[in-house]
Amino acid sequence: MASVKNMIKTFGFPRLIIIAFLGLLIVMMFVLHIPVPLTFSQCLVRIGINMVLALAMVPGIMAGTGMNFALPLGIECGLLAGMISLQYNMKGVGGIFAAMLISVPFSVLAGWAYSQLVNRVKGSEMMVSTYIGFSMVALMCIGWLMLPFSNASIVWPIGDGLRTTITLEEWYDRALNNLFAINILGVDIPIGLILVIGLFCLVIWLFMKSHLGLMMKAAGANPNFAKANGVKVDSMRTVATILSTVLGGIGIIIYAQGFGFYQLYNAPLMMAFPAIAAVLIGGATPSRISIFNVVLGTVMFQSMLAIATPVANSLIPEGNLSEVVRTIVSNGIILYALSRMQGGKR
Amino acid sequence: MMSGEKTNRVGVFLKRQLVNNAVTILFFFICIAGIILANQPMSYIIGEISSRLFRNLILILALLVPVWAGMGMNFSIVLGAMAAQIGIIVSTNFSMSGIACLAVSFLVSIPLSLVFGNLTGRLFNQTKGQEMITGMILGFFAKGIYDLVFMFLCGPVIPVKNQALLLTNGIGLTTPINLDGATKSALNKIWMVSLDKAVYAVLILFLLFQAALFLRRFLLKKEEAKGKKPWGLLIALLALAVFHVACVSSETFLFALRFTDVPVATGILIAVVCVYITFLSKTKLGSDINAVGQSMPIAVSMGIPADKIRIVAIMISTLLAALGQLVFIQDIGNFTTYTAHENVGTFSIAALLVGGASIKKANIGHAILGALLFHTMFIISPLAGKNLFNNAQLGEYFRVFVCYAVIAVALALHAWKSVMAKKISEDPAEEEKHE
Repeated sequence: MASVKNMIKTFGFPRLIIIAFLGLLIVMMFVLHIPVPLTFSQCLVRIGINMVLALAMVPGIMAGTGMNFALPLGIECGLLAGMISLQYNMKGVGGIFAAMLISVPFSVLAGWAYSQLVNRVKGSEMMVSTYIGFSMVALMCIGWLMLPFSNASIVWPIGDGLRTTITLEEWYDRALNNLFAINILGVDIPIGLILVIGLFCLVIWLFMKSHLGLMMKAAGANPNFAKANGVKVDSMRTVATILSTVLGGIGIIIYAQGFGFYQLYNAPLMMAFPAIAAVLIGGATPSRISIFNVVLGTVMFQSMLAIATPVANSLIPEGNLSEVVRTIVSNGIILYALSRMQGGKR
Repeated sequence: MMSGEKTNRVGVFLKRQLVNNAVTILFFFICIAGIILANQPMSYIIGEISSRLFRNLILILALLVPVWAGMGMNFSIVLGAMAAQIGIIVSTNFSMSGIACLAVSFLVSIPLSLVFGNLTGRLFNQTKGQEMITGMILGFFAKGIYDLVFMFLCGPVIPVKNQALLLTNGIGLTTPINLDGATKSALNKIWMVSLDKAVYAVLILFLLFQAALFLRRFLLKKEEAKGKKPWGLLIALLALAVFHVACVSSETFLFALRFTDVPVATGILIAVVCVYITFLSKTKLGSDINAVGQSMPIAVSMGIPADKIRIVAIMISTLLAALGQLVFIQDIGNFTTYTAHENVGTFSIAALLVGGASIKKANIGHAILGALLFHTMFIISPLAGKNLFNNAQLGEYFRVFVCYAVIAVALALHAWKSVMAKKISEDPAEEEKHE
C-alpha cells in the first residue's frame, strides 16, 4: 500500500487525473462514433507541430532560469523569418528550412539581449519574462503594421500592414506533414514531420549529454557549487536563453506549416502556456527536465486536446468546450507545479 | 566623516528618486506629447479622463494592501472582478433594477470574493516569493472555471430564471449582459455636479482639513510639531489659488470643466475606500501587515501569524476589487460576459506602477496619479496614432505595448535592485548562502 502511495506521489496526482481524463476521452470517442483514424491523424500532427515549442523549455529549466515564459520572444523572431520567406516566395520543404535558417540570427540576437536582462533579475525570471514576452508581442504588432513587406499575398489589399492570418497554400502548407507521409489503417502518419522532430529531440538530447550541457545542468542545479568549480554560471544562462529563443523561433515555423497558416498580431501572446503545461504534464518540474518529459508531455497534452475537440463538439455543438478544457488543464498544471516548487525547496 | 556620509546619502536618495520615478516622468511627457498630437478639444479630454478616473480608481486602490504585505502586485484581483460579475448575473436573473440591483449584486459578491480571496491567499502561502506569477496564472485558471460554469453549466445544470440571460438554445449565458436603463449608472446618477464645482469643493475641504490639523497641532503644542512648518496648509492654499487663477484666466478651461459632470456618490464611495485603507494602515492589523511585508521571519518571531495576515490582505484586496468592478460595470452599463474581467489586473497594475508605485511601495497618491496618467495615455494614443500615422490601430497597439512594457520594466527594475542589494550585503562577508 505504501509503495502504491509512494508511486502516486512520485508520479504526481494531476498526471493521474490527466491520464484518467485521456482514457475517458478515448472511450467517449468510440462511444460517440467519432472517426478514429481521422482523430488519430490529427493527434499525430498536433503532437508533431507542438513538440519543438515544448523542447524550447529544456535549456531554460536546465540552466536554472526556470520555465521560459518569454517564449513569444522566440516566436516573434520565427514569425518575422517566416514573413521574409513568404515575401521572397520560398516554397516547399526548402522554404520551411530557409525560414528556420533566417530565424536563427534574429533569435540569437533577441535571445542574447533578453539573457542580459535574465541574468540581472535572478529569482524573478518567470514574472519578468512573462511581461517581456507580452510586451514584445505588442511591439511586434506595431512592427507588423509598419514593416515594409510588399508581397500582395501577405499584406492587406487596403490599408497598412500584414494580414492577421496568412494561409500558406501558395508556399509550404503542410509540406513537412505530407513529406514521405504514409497511410496505415486510415491513419496518416507524417513521417517527414516525425523525422524532423526526432532530429531536434536527438540534437537537444546530445546537447544535454555534451560537456556544455553538463556544465549548464550544474549551473542550474547549484549555482554556487558550479561557480566554485569554475563554471561560468551567467554565460551558461545566456547560452540557455539563446538556445531556448532559437528553438521557439524554429518551433513556430514548424507549427505554422503544420497548421496551414501564420497567425500574426496577438496570436503568440499566450503561446508559452501550452508549451509549459505540456512539459509539466510530462513530469518536468521548474528545475528538472528530460527529453522524455517533453515527448511524453506533448503526446499526452496534445492528444488530449485533439480528442477533446471532436468529443466536445458532438456533446455540445455550441461554444468551445475544448478551449475551456485546455485553459483549465494547462493553467491548473502550471499552478500545481508552482505550488510544488516551494514545497520542494523547504 | 559624518557630513560626507550625509551628502553621499542625499545623492543616493536623489538618484533613487529619479530611478523610481523615471516611469512616471516619462509618462508625463508621453501624455503631454500625445495631447498635443491628438489635437482634441479640452472638454473632450477632461471629460474622458474624469469619467475614467471615477470608473477605475477603486480597482487600482484594491491593489494597495497586498503590496504592503510584501506580496507584490495582486494579479488575482481578476477573481474579485469575477465575483462582482457573478453578483450582477444573479441580481439580473431575479430581474432586479436600479440601486437595488447594484446593492444585491454587491451583497452577493461579498461572500464570493471573500471565499475567493481566502483560497487565493492559501495558494499564495504555498508559493511564497512567486505570488505574482501565481496570481496571474490563477487568473487564467479561474477564467477557465468561470467559462465552464457560465458557458456550459448555466441552463442545463444551473437553473436560470431570466430567459433573456440565456442563449437561444438554452445553454450558456449571452454576451454582453446589459444593465437596464434604471440600473445603468444608477450610482452615478444619484447626484451629478459639474467638475469645476467638484474641484472647488474638494480643494476647500482639503484646505479646511489641513487647517484643522494645523490648529490641533498648534493648540496641543506637541513637541515634535514645533520644528515642523505647515506644509500641508500651504500646499492646500496654493492648490486652491492656482486652480482659481486657472479658472478665471482661461475661458476654455472653465468651459471644459463646466461641460463635465462628475458622479458625487461614486466619488464619496471612492473617498470611503481611501479613508478605510488609510484607517486600516493605522490599526493593529495594518501594522501587522506592514511587519509581514518588511520581513516575514522577523514578523513570525514577533508572534505575528504571517500566513494568516497574508490571507487577510488578499481577502481585503479581492473584496475591494469586486466593489471596483461593480462601479466600473454600472458606469459602462454592460459587460462582456466572458472577457470583462480579463484585463482588470493588467490595466490596474500598469496604472498603479505608472503613478510611481513599486512592487514594495504603493499608496493612494500613486493610485490617483497613476490612474490620471495611464488613462490619459489610453484615451489619446489611438487619436495621436491616427493624426501622426493616419492609423488609429497603431495607437491602440502602442498603448497595449506601453501597458505591458511598464509592468515589465517595473518588475525588472525591482528584481535587479533586490539582486544588487543582496550582492552588496553578501560580498563583504564573502560568504556563500546555502538554503
